[in-house]
Amino acid sequence: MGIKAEGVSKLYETAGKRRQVLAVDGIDLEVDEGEFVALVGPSGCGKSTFLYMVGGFISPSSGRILVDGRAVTAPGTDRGIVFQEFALFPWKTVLDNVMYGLQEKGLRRKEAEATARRYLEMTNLQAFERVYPKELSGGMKQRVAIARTLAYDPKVLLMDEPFGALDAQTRVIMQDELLRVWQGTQKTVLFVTHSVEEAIHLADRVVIFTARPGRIKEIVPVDLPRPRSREVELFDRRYAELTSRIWRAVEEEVKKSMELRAATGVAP
Amino acid sequence: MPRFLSIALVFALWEALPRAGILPAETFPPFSTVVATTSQLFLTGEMWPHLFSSMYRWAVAFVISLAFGIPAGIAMARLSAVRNFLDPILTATYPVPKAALIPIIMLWLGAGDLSKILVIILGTSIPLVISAFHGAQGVEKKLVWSALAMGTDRRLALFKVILPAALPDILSGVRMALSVSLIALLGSEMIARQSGLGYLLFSSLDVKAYDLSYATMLVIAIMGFAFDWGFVALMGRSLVWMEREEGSDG
Repeated sequence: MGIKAEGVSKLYETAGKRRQVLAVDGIDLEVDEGEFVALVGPSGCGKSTFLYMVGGFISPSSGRILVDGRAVTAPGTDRGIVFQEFALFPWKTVLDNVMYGLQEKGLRRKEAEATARRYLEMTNLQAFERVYPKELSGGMKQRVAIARTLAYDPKVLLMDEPFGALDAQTRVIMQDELLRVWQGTQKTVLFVTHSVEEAIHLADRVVIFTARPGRIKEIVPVDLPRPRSREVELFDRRYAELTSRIWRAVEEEVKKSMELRAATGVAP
Repeated sequence: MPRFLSIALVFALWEALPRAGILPAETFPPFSTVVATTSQLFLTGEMWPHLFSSMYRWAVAFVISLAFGIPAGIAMARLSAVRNFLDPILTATYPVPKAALIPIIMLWLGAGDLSKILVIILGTSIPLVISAFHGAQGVEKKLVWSALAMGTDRRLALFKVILPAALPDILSGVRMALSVSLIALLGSEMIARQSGLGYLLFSSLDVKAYDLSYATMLVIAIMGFAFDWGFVALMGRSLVWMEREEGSDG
């Protein structure tokens, strides 16, 4: 399932139009089926807003988004989302969280349980299925959130800085788990991150957003062979060149965004 | 220090001080006398009709308050029209002691059960509306989005996400409403006196039957304690997931 954005903009207005903020401005982007695309840019640049529009949670002020050729008007089970904040249902156990999407799909409890258990096993959570989210560490919560989204098998994965709240070691492990799953299922992934290293390690292409209003500054293909190993990345010249190229472009926008913030006194 | 030692100490002083003559036994009968009077009231049957009429008013009013207050609070959080309508009323009536409205309500509805029940509803609804409002308004937007992405119908998300997510706040509102409802009950029975625990309490004070007053107070205190204890016992087991999270994330 491919994604196509045509001239997508988002204008936020306060009541009475006294203040207007153009968050996203004229995004054109095509993501192929099975492609892994990372979105990077300074915080507040509208990359998450763009992701939420692909998800159908908010609607564009102009332009349109097509998923598998059909215009997005609302959230749908073809697009799964994983948030930085996990957004697990705290009143449900780990197993019931992962079963939620399956039961909404109409699966009977027995079938839903079996599928959910398979994904809990895949994410090494089988020992925690009766536990409530509050008892889990951040990394475990995020594994539940990912298992919950993978379990009902959406063709597109939207990931909103999913590893942003995790410690460095956990993040590395989770990145590789995600790659393993993605290579096994060939889902289309749109991955928002503020980490250039993460974007390069994961993605086929890196989309660099400008400071607000968010436009596409540059799209950089990551033509490094897979599977990518961190040991190789450390010494590979192409990797170093890519990192510094993308990092310079992002840094430029981060500075602009900081100047903008200093001038207007508005936090992102 | 063992738990309940403080309460045992209060009872011990209550027994000892009047007996020692430090407190006047006429206006401050010893604990054992009060307990004896209380059991006497139950044994002779004098207490039952009052207890029943109080419980009847309380139960009717509390059920109506729950049925109105919780949906109203959630509606306030989700619909700005409802919020704009109810919020000024709530802000204006919140600080008014509901018992002060009894004379006016009696003027409209007479001095019977109806007025008393209405007064209790007025007092009890407010903490319920406010807690349901805060609970529903505080529901993380991304929780609802997650459910929608997994195929939950937008209208059903109210029951599948917002209601359970708001439950901790709603339940602490119910706990507060339990104690407020008892105060409103006694207030209404004190002002429009016919029957009930409030009637018993204040009429006995008027005729200086202090042992009767203390006995009634003891019954009221036990009732309040039983309500709260019953609530905690009922809720504590079914809502293990609610206890505060240890990390700051979540």
